[in-house]
Amino acid sequence: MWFPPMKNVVVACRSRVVLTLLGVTLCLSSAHAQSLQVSGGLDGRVTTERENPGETGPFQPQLTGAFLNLRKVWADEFGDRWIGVAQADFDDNFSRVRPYQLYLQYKGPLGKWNVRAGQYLLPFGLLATYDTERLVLQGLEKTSLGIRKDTGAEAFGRYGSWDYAVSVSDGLSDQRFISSQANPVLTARVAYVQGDAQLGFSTLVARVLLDPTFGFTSPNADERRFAVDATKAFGPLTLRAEGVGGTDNDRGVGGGVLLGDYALTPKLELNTRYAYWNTAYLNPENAGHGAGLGFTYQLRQGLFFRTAGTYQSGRDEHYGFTLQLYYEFSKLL
Amino acid sequence: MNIMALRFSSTTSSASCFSSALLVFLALVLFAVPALADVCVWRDPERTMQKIFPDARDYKTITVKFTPENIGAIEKQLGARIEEPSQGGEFNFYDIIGAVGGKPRKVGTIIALAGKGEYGVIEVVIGVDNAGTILGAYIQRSRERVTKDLESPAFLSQFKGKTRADSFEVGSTLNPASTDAAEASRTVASVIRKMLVFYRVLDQQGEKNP
Repeated sequence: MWFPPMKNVVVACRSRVVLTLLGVTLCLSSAHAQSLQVSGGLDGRVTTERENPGETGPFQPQLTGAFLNLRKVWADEFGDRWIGVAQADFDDNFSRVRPYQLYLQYKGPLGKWNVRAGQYLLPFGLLATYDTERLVLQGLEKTSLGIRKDTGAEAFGRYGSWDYAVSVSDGLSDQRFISSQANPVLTARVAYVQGDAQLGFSTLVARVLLDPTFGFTSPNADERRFAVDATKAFGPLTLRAEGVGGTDNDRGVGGGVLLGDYALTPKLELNTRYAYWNTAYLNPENAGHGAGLGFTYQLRQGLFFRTAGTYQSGRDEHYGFTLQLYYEFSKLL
Repeated sequence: MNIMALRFSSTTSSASCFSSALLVFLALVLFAVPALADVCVWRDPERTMQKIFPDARDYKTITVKFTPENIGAIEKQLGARIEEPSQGGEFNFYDIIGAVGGKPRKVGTIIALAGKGEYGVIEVVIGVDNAGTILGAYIQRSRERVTKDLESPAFLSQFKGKTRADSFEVGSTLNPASTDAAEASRTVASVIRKMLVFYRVLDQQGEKNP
């Protein structure tokens, strides 16, 4: 079995990440631009996992993540034109440093078309519009794609009631400075948008270098994916769904996720998740179900307490329970 | 290849590393400055811009910092305190740029703000001309049971033509969106009036800081 040498790579590239961010900060602070928007967040969690519901596993407290995001807009005489974004994430008690999003974007008139280059979230399925990285109940992309963000170029925008996005990226995600068999990742999505509802269709074709921090035991896969995603609000209830199908090295895979959030009061929200993924059609042994139920409570502006119980079936069957304290802030410099 | 074999175990960390991380976490939670509660994240802005200003060519984001002085001026005009005024933050609005003879010219402004509803925030967007008169109002996001009523043209069109000098009293100068939506209608009316006052006070600062 082969793993990319993540630990060494991360140690070696940590200083490069910090240097890059410092450089980007200096560039973003240049003249002829609007003020620098700095935002950030802290994600502290206590998690326990066990094989049976009656058991009590060890509680593992950790600062799961901290992030710092810099954003700057440069305008010309007609309007906002260039947008620079640099975000670094410090994960697992600051033991892992990675750039999260780092890109420069050129915005066309009224945002009807845009081009960006750098590292960004892939425009595929729900991930295109809903980033669950810092939520306890998350989307399916870590399982269904093995990659969430990548380095490349993307064109996106809108035409009437339709949103579109096309991306070409390198397939390496966070794993840099290593030789790999990854090939360019082609991702595309179109979505029909009507008010707070949207229906999207996505495709991805790639030889992806799978991120070992997502738990994959193989280094890469020839992936073909097609997804349909939908988002709709019904008063206090917001539903998000995604169905994904395709092949991994010519073997059929498929599944989906349903996320539901219900506002009970202005500060208290009920969160639910159900996911299914199968690595070989018609073979129930390769199927896994995941379910989660939790709450989000807003303690004060920008400070959230979340708790969720989860169940995962399949080869790695287990129960989990998570408490999260999440804080985010934003400041203009 | 088994791509189902997800790793669920957490990364093991030393106790000292966690303690340091926890201290940093607590320090930042205590001392970091949150955004002002009244500020709203605006989703999908460009579509709304084009609805209100069909001839718009582009937009320019104007960001103004809240200061004790401008918060004081806002509260004086509103006749009420705004939330968490002492905790800083900033406010965005969007100058809409048209083209006259090929030259850029500001044709109006888009403003967005959120108010507290029964099920979370109600995000409202208005467009005003250069004199501060409302050209259109939209509900950008609402989780209320009466969202459809709030979004109805019959309710929202009442705001068209109003300025900050007008009355925004639901039940007298404005009809509620429905009998069940009286409270939510008051929230929307209050948010719209707030936006006109915010814009009036902060626009002068924004022009100095384009």
